[in-house]
Amino acid sequence: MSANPYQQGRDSRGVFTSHPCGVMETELLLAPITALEIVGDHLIAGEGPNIAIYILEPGASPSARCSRQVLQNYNVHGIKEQQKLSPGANKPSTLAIFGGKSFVVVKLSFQDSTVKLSEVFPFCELHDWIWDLQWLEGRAEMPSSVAVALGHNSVALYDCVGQRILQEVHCQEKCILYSAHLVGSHWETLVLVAGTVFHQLVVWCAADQTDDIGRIKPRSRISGHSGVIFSICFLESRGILASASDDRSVRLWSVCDLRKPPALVPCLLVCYGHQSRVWSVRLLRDYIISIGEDSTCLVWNYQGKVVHSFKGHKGQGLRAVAVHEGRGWVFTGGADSGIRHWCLKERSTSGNKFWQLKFPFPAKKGSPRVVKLVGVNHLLVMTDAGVVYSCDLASEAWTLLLEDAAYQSYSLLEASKLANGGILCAIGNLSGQVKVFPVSSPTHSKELNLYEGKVHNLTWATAPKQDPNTCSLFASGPAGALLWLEVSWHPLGGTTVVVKQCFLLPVCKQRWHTCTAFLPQGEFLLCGDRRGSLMMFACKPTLGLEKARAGDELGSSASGFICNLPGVTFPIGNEEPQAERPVSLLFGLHGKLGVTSITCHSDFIYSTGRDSCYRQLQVQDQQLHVLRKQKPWKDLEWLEDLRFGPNGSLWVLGFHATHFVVWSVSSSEMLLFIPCGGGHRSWSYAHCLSIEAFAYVKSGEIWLYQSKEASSEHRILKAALHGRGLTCVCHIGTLKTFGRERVSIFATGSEDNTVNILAFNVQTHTVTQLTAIGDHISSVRALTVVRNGVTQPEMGRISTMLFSAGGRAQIECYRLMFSPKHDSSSSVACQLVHVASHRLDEHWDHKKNKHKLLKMDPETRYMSMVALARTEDPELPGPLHFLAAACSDGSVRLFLLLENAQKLCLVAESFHHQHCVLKVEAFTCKTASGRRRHFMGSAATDGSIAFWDVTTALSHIAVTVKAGNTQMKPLALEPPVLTIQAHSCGVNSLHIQETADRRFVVVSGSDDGSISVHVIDVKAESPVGQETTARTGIQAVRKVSRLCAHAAQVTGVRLLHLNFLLSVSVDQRLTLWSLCEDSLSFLWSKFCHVADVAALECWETEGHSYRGAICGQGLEVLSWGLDVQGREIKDGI
Amino acid sequence: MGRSSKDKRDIYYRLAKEEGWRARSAFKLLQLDEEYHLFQGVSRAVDLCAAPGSWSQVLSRKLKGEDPKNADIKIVAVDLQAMAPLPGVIQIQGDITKVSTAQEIIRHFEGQPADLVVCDGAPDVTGLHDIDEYIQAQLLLAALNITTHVLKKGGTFVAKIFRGKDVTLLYSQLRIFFPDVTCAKPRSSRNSSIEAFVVCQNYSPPEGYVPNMSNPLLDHCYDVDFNQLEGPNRVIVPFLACGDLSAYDSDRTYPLQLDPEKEYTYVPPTQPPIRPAYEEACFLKKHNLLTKEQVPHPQLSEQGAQNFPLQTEVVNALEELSV
Repeated sequence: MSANPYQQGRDSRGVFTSHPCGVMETELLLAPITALEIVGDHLIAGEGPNIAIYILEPGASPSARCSRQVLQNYNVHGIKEQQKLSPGANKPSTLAIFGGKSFVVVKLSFQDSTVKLSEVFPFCELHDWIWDLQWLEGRAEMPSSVAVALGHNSVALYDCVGQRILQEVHCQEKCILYSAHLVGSHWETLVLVAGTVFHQLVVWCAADQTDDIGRIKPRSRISGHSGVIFSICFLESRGILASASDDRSVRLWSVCDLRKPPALVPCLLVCYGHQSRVWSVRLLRDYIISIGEDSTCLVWNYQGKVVHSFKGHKGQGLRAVAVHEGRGWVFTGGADSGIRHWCLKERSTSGNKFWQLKFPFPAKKGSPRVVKLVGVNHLLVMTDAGVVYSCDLASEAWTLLLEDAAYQSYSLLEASKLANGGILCAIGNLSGQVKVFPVSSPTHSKELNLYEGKVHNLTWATAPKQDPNTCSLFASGPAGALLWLEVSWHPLGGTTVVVKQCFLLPVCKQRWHTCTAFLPQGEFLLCGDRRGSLMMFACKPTLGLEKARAGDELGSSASGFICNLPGVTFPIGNEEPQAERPVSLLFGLHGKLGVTSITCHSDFIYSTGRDSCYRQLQVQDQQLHVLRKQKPWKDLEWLEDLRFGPNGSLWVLGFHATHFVVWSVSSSEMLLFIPCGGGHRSWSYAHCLSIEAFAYVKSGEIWLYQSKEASSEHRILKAALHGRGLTCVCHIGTLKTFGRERVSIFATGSEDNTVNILAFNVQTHTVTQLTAIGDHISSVRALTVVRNGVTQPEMGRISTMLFSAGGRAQIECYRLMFSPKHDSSSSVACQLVHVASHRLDEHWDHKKNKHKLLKMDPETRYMSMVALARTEDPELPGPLHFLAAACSDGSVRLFLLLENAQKLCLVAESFHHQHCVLKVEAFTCKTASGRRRHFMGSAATDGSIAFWDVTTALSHIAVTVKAGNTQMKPLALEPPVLTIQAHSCGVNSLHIQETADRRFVVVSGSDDGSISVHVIDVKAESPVGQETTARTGIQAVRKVSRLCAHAAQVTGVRLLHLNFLLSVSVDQRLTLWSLCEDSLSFLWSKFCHVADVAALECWETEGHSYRGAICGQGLEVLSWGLDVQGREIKDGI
Repeated sequence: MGRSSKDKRDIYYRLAKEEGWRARSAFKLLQLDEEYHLFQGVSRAVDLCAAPGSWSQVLSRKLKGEDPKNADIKIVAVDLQAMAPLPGVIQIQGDITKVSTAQEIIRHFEGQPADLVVCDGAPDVTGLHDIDEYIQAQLLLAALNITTHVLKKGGTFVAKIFRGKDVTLLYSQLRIFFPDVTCAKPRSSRNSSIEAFVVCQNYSPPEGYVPNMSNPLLDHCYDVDFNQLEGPNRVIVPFLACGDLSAYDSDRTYPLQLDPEKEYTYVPPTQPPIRPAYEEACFLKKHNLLTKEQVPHPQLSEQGAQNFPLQTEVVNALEELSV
């Protein structure tokens, strides 16, 4: 990034000049998007104190062309372009950017492909909050005066050249405002509409006569809202004023001329549509746009109907909206730091049809039971009279394909498109027969007498390297029999069926398959069943078992079956046949409602089920392994199928209550929503290029939805971070990509119940989300990683174990693997495998009738977590991973991960603290005999820090594990070896680091704004031989503390090299201290742009250079160097 | 989850209901008093931004003791919103930025200034920290301004404060009027909360200061010398944690059965909110009357339009609302 011209403004304030150490640079800031404005062909976004410039054209690169800090310690809340004297798209634009009490004027010029941003008038700070700003036209060539609407209902006229307020006028209604909107371009005609704390809109003119105490009388007061007003907009051409409020409504007022409003302003429209508060409203010629806390952007027409509803942002609300009226584009900015692009005219109904298909009357035979789309324009229908019809949807021309009374009442039809374009269709009946026929030539049908009982289900699957005329059919029969039939059709040779193999499904009540797919290599068949089980069969077809030609006697008569399958005679009876059992079985994986689909996609297997989840699996050693499970959208109760798009997009088909839904996972938005009545009925969906079709049967009629311009994902200009505040950040490691770029990987946890894995490119200062974890049912509060083997920051690969913990006493454990992506110079590939999870109240969730019971146990939250150093034992297959958690119920708990068994066990606990435990840290120390001793430090809301020696407990547990006992009762931890009262109240941050042999520095920051440093010594061990029983003592040697180090709770502390200490607080200051013999001395402080700072993470990049991340209402990555000249490593501390 | 889950998540919410307080914040004032003895010798107290009235309840119980009719003690509660009446508390529905409100308070005190002014007011939080902190600061300054009209010299002012990025500007402002300003956090206030309280003692306005309500007090700006944005010099006031360590811990999660002797029973809230802003919206949401986007619907045929609520249903629901 080039030198920041606004930096100079700071230096002149004399703030940065006294830094004894290297200056800290913000490399990345992700914060709520608080302002959006369209300037020419560009979108200007305000994020924290920065503005970023994006190209509007959908084809353009979505990354920002330019990003710059413009406001110092304020966030950008508005961007106002000055009217150009001479219009022209590529002429430079002058922008006033305001936020908080400050504003700055910059010039934006475009030269070829570069954007230049230069300061026109310097940063200025006023005495009150700026709610709105308006450029005023003057006599001068170059307009330089602006009007600003201020926080207590006043308007100031500011001269940018002279850098001073020329005039300030006040309204009689002197109160706190929540919003204000200036209208007019001359001081003489300037009108302010102010949204007061009293739920009113007050309209007054800046140039009006003042009363005897110098105040201006409002021209109108508009009442009606029952909450404060967050946003105001005026549409001059219609004389309409709009207001958005805390009462969750948008109201439109007919004021006509704002300067001469009627005595009683009539309310034109009250729009209730948001599920929560409305933050902003914009008026367009034909539409009203509102955004709200429900993360929804609603587009209303002037009749008060919602025309569009744009949803896609995460979590808590949209904060900014900009509209390009001419092109019908809407841009929204969220509290999630994301920017999305929506199209107003897109869902025009012209290309969409939704109608009831006219069934061929009077030739109609039976009523439709099954529909199957075999293309967006081709529908197959089967009726309860055993008749199969084909319908060309474009012409609505019906063809009767086949009629067979043997297939009446029970309608089972499945079709498959062959690689050669032909369509094969299979129908089954109650007496065990299956008929296959090509749609193009239904007379060439082939009937097979497979079972003595009914055919439960039929599915088609394409085997790898299969002949283009061939497809595999799977038929479930009684007693769990599943037959694999290979069906071929040649226009000349007719239909051929080969029985390949018979499989046996696991025993259960509803014992039939629901979906099948071949693994890409073809040696295994994947199958899902109605019981929710997923299984894998080995494909060992016996060649030339049975061949039958259409028209041949063999196929159509039950007696004519020749069977070479050992132990199987056709038709298969109601006894369990002798057949291939699954080589791998995951019983009931998707729950009792069944598996719905299996898809193989780029080395992975994906399954969907009616448990609202889809799972990613892999085959290892001929066994199915679930890597992870994902819930695309909480309201999608039934997942039916997955569709993988070309550029990494993923669509999920499913049902939300009685609606069919197509959901895009990549852009988290709903693409299709059809009220069809639910997923129990027969339905079918097809999509090809931009055309999509959905057919279903409801009340014996066929309904069809067809769209010529199927909605595709909306463009994402900037990806979202988290939907709510971030609670923790954890550095995982640094990788070098093939382009030799360094990428730092870290994980963030949030109150939105998710964990994000992010890759931060050190060269370009850009961040990409590698994956997200959504397994938590409550907020995530703590993250910790354990690296495998030697920790090397510059390794070519990283393999780690990540633990996340949070509300509802939940811990999740994942294995994460990172490596450079082969096909890219700058990106990183990430694979995530869910290893284990733990819930304290799991037993409660499994209780029946729990809604009738009162759960007396506390609702424990994990506040912090740390992985203890691994303990290895030659007698154990792998290292033991121990984990310590700080719990809100006043306990410290130890957990053990048994990776192979995929189990996380509670192994020890102590309620020593009796207060909510906020932080836990671990440290180890080697004794003279070479044994490692394990310690823990835990801190609570009472300001105390306890030190625990857990060596004995850990070795005791290791012995139990060695004995093969995994169902252990939690041990009671022995009391702490030392407890110190470090602070007067809650300890919000804790860091323990070894500085010398058996000497540790304990740094803690508190709710009271203080920082304490304790030096502790681990006492020499007791005589050899007793060390497994005797606990080692800890002694506090020295204490240094600084009260009022910060003005708010200190939420992060880190001891860096050479007695440097870094702290961060909710007061948004990051401060570097020098730790001396008996004091902490201030070195420098930096204002940080993340509000509600929750955590600090630091890592050394190279000698005395550091990178750090702070999180809260956003994420900031910083880098700095420590100037170590003249410093020596002081002994003693 | 059930209605008991909030009882479990928040011990003070539960205790407030069980002890009859209108809000859990009552414990905050009680714990502040434990540390500062705020009520000692107080006979005239003002509660600004009083709704729903829990601090007025505390003032009444603490100052008047058993006898709510005690005429020697006067408590005035001011709020813009309506508040359910409280015995022994004089209520003013008014704006704290108006001189008339200050005059009315003094009138109730028969011309005498107040000994204690408390303010637990918080704005409608927007979730954008900079705006919330700004508005909270303005609320505090408005409370300070009316306090300069009604508080006796040497009196005490207690107010809620958000410890955010610019809190030192408020500290420097308060120091002009009070030599003793401390920041206090009762144990009933959550550790994670940005909220704290300023306890300003020994009211001593600058010499010649004339209270003036015609202009709002504005917050200070950063000063290169004594209150820097990024430098070492910042006005940070002493901090005091209030309440006994043995008191309940607001961050801790407790089991429902607190006392083995006493069985848990659910207690409904003491005072539900009066006419909140979201009332109508929630009613509409509950009855599925919020305007929604038109989802694709079959072109009207015999079976069409059955998913729309019947006109009469809408009318009935709206009638219910107006009642």
